[in-house]
Formats: sequence, structure tokens, C-alpha cells
Amino acid sequence: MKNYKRVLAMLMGTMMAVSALAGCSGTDSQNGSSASADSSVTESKQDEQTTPADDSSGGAANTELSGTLKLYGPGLFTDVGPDGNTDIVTGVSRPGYNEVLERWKELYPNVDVEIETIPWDNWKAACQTAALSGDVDIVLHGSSITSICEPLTEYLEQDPEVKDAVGMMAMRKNSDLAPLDEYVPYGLTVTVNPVMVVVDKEIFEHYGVELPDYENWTTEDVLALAEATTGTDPVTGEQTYGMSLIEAASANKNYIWASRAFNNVIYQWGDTLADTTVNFKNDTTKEVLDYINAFTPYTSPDYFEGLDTNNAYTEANNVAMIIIEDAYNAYNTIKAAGLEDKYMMAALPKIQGGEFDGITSSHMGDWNMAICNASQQKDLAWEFMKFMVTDEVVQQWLLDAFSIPANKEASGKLSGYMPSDYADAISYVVSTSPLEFSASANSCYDSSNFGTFANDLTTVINEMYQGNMDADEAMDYVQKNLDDYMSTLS
Amino acid sequence: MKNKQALKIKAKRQLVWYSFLIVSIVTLIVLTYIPMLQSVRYSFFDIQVVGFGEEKFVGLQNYEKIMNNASFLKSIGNTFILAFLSLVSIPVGFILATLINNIGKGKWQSFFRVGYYFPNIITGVSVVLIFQIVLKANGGLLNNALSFLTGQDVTIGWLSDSHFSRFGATILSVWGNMGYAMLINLASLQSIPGEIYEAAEVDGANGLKQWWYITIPQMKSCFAFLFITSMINGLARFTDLFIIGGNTSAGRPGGTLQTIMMYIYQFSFETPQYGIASAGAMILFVMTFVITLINLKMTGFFKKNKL
Repeated sequence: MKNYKRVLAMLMGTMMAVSALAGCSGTDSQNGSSASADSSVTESKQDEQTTPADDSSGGAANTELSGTLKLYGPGLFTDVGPDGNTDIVTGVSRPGYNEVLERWKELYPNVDVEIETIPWDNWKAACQTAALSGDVDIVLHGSSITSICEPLTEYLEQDPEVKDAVGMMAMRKNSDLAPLDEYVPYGLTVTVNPVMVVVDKEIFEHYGVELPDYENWTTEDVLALAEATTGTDPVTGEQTYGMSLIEAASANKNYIWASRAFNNVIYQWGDTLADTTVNFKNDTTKEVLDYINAFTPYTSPDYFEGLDTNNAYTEANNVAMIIIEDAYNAYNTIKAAGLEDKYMMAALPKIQGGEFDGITSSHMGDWNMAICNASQQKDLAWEFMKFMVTDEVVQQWLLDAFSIPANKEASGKLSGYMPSDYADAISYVVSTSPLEFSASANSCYDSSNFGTFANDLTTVINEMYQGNMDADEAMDYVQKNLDDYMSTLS
Repeated sequence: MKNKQALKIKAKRQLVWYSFLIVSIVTLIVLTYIPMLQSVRYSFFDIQVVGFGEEKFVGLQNYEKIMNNASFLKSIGNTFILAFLSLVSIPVGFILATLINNIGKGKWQSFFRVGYYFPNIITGVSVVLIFQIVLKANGGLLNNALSFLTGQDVTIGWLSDSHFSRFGATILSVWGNMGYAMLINLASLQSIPGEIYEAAEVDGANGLKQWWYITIPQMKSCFAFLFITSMINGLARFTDLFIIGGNTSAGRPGGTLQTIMMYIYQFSFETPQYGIASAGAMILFVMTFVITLINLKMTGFFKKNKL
């Protein structure tokens, strides 16, 4: 009995120690997989594949490459799941990513792909932790965490056709690799999300206001239209508001487009970040902040709580212009409500001056893929990323999944999916957006390299909206935090 | 020789019991102490993301930077203000417990006990979502009630205006925690010997006097316990304020709801600088440790050891 107890205790202790140590160690094993409670893992295994390489579908099978690729992160794969899904609001069905994996197996029968999807909540923390395990090859939407990702410069030099094929790249800055006034590609953009304005044509008509000519309208025009469409609707007698800016919790994003429209260049790039000067406090910044705040009287009092667009895309909508970041979802909701004729989409006002003078200030968000710098199969990871942005079947899948492909040829097919009132404006933004540009790291706004800049902007814009700060106080607040941060750079 | 053998036998016997402890010891070392010591180490290094990039020893620089950072100092202030404001749940819980206790044991007492404890088991996310509607500026339930009572149009942004947000966040936390405070108070109230009240009654003390001179003094240790645990919980406050801020750690509105935990989170994951985040975590650890020491002293832990 005594021996039994001893053996049992020793066994339990050893098991505990071994499992704890195994859990903590990084591994290059290609067979292991892990899944958290909030995530799901799908694998495409070679032995499950019965379809041989099919030349007729557009490519010969590559049997030279072999291995198991592990993808981890949030975004489109999470949204659609392996088998697809149906949106409970719009009733729209989207195909799952198994279609992509099947296509991949046709082309690369010896390479398995494991996708571990996660939600957007705390995604950066999750991706960092996953990368630390050394068991991730591709970080989905990883370009925002440059410290765990591989720069793509060399890969793009090897395959220049990839750069030509896409209308956007996930660019960041890194003074170790390129001068700070230049970009370093960190992620291959698979889908784009242009920031658009949804215009309620009926409200404009009721007020007798002309619809915007979005290729030429200016910041002042937008403000004037917001003012003109705020009040009591002459036809319905309901209160309407001219504008719904990007939600208050992400108010910094309003600064992104407005500062770009005013061409408010605040960075004087040095050789390193420490040598860079940030002149946030200047007359143009004041103009930009005052401009954003000037929309307050034309905004619903429910804006701050994010409740001002509760009736958006319905018959009862009472906001004339809504700035959105998810154009395709908005269109699907409008379509599901049978209100395609009531609305249209527009680009944000044009940029006044500077390098991008005359083009729209609408920037584009994206969903990208980045090579994890801890990966042992970087070349294989690059092959998969290339496949995601160039393969015709994948591009069709992206369109079918109601996403806007970064692939220029594929995004040109958007007009087959939505009326010109929507597709034209989106295509205008996608086609005019410069490849060498990042909404997160540009000369007017950089949230990637300057500490809490994005959060600070959100804070001051919200405070101005509440009437607790004026533009001068707002500039002082942000500039002080920027100076504090810059002083920490050694 | 005999002693040696006796020791050997004793050690052999104890080995069985020590072997059972291995599980706990290994768990504790691997999952608690090693990460803790690593955090201490990181706080002396210039390090962006753990496991990636260079680790440069910078001594106390991270502490110096953080202690000179206005946002960090503000977050310490916010944390303590919010923690102190949330202590309101203790007197509220005590009043509720007194009322429930006076009902006398029975199904009504159980009903109120469960009813008031209920908010404590609702997930934080749901509570915040509901309170965002209750406390909203335009047509929120609280503002509507105040408008009705005052006869004036009240449009206070309880969670959106930086002048009022700490009160709004306190309403939320008091609502969530008063059930727990009530339950602890009730248990403590019911443990006061009835003989004391009987003696006071004989001496002619009325209900109010009994409450003031007997109940409250007898509840001292209960209040101390609730005070300390509430303060410690307040120092670690994160989830509800993170959601109120729109899933950012900026402490919206106006940074008034950014606690130390949120500051640490910001530098861990949003703008990764683990060195700074670890230094913040160490400072939080020291503050929590001091409060725990006070707690132990107040609850007589050290006295017991002396005995």
C-alpha cells in the first residue's frame, strides 16, 4: 500500500512537471496543434485530399514543396469559418475557407495548412503569445505587430508580379531597414476596407440639396452638406442629422482622414525615430481638430454612445451621411433591407495640397498576412501568401465572401456584385489609393511608432465633442504625451 | 548511528507526503514564481515584445520613465479614486443587510438575499452594456428620472463626460458589488450574540441606540475585511472600464477611467513595451502588497504568529 502511494505520487508529480514544461517550451513540431476556448483549428491534410491536381482550374500541382503551414490570427477566416456561415441580420451566406484550402491542396498536394482563427478581441496579445510559441508561420493581420513579423522587401523583389497585382500593401516604418520617409512592407494585403460615406439620397432630396460629387468635393462642402441636412425633415417632419462620424471609441480615425485632407504633415523624419521631430502643435492641426469638432451640431446626441446609427440602413434612418469602415457589410445590410435605391456611397473629400493633392482622403483598412519571424518555413509561408493574392479561384472566393480583394483585377469585378451607386465610389477609392501609403504610419498620422498617439487623439477629440477642451488644450495634451514618449527613445 | 538511522526512517516516511506536494510545488514554480521573477527581470530591460528583438539592460530607467510619466501618475490617481468611490458598496450593503436581517429568518429573507446578490453573478460585459443605456446622456433612464424629479432637462453623460464618468463607473460597480457586501454583512450581523441586545433592551436602549452602540462596533472586523478586499479589487479593476472605453485601454472619456491595470495593458499589447509594462506591474505589486500587509495586520495575522 505504501509503495502504491509512493509510485502514484511520483507518477503524478512527473506527469505534472513534464506537461508543464512541454506546454512552456517552443516546438518546431509540424504535427502539434493547439486551440484555445475561443479559437478553432482547421487542418487540410494530405490524406484527406482525393482530388488530384487539376490543370483545367488554372495551375499545375507543385509536388516539390512539402510541410505543414500554420496560420494564426483574426479576420476573414474567423468571420466565415471553415464551412461558411449565414449572417443573421442580412441573411447573406458566405462560403467557408475550406474552399481556399481545397484549392491550395490542388496546387500544393504535399503542403498541409492548419488555420487557427481567433476573434478580434485582444488579438494583438493573442498573436504575440502564439508567435512566442514558435509554432506559427503566418500571422493573420500581423503587419501591425512588426516585432514578430518578417519584412517582405526581399520576397517582393524576388516576385515583382505580386506587387504589381495588388492595390495595397501593409506598410510600416523601420529605420533599420529603410529611411523613415520610406515604407517597409510587412504584410501582404488580401482584402481592403475603404473608408466610405453612406449617403441617404432621400434626406438630401427632402431638403432639396444636391447629391455630392464625391470626386471633387472639399472638406468645406462636406460640412456645408451636414449643416444643410440637419434639422426637421421638410417631408417627414422627423429630426435628421447631417453626419455620423466614425464611432467615438475610434475617434482618432476621423483625425486620419481629416488630417490627410488638410495635408497636415507633422513629422520631420530623422535617421531614427529618436531623431524624428513631431510638430503636432501647429496651425493646421488646430484647423483639423476644429474641423472635426465643427460637425458636433450636426451629429446626433447619441453619437458618443454609438447609438446614433441604430436606424441606419432602414426606412427610419435619420442621418444624411454616415462615415463607415465596413463598406461591403453596409451594402449587404442595405441590400437585405431592399433599400439600394435610397442610398449611395461616396468617397471622403479630396486632399488639399501636398504629395497626394486632389485624390480622396478616404484611406483603406485591410486584412493582411505576414510571415512570422520565428517561422522555420518562411519561403513556404510566402508561397501561401502569394497564392492568397494572385490565385483566381481565391479571388473569386473573396468576392463570394463579400470582401473587396486587394488584387486589382479582382476588385475591378465589384460592379458585378453591386449597383454602380456603390461600386463606382468604392472602385474610385481603391484605384486612386497609393500603394506606398499606410493609414497607420504616414506623414500626417502614425499610430505605429509614437506610443499612445492614437489613444490620445481619441481622448482629445471626444473631450472636444463634450465641450471639455478646445483645440489648443487638445494640442497641448497630445504634444506633451508625444514629447514624453520621444524622450523615452534612447 | 542510531540518530542517523532514526532520521533516515523519518525522512523516508515523510518522503511519501512530500511527494504529494510535488504537484503543487511544480505548478506554483512553473506557472507563478518563474513568470513573476521574469516580470521583475523584464522591468530592468528595454524590451518591446517578449521573445523578439534585443533585450538591453537599462537598470532603473523604466521605473524612472514611468514615474515621470503624467499618464501613469494619472492612472494611479484614477485607480485610487475609483477604488475609494467603490467603497460606497460597503455602507449600502450594510444598510441592506440590516433591513434584511430585521425581516427575520424565512422565505422573504432568502428572497431578498438572493435578489440583492444576483447582480454579482451577472457577467461584467452584460452589466456594462445595460448600464450604457441606463446612464446615457440623451434619454438615459437615470437622466429621465432626474429630469422628472427636478423638473429640468437633465442630460448628464454619466459614462461619456469626463466630469461625471467616475461617478457613472461607481454607480456601475456599487450596483455590482453591493450584493456581496450585503451577504458578508448579513453573515456578520447574524453572528452577533443575541444576549447583548437582550441586555441592552433591559437597560432601556431603543432600536437605534442598539444599532449604533452594539451592531456597528460588533461589525468592525467585517467592515475592515470588506474595506481591504474592496481596495485590492479596486486596484485590479479592468474589464468594465475597458468595455466602457470602447475596448481600448485609453480610459475613455478623457483618460479619467484609465487604471494602472489598463496602463499596463496598453504598454503590453497596444503599444508593446514590455519593460515599461513590467515596471508598472511591479509598482502595482508593491501597492497591493502594502495593502495586503495592512489587511493582515488588521485581521490579527501577525498577532497569531507571535502566540
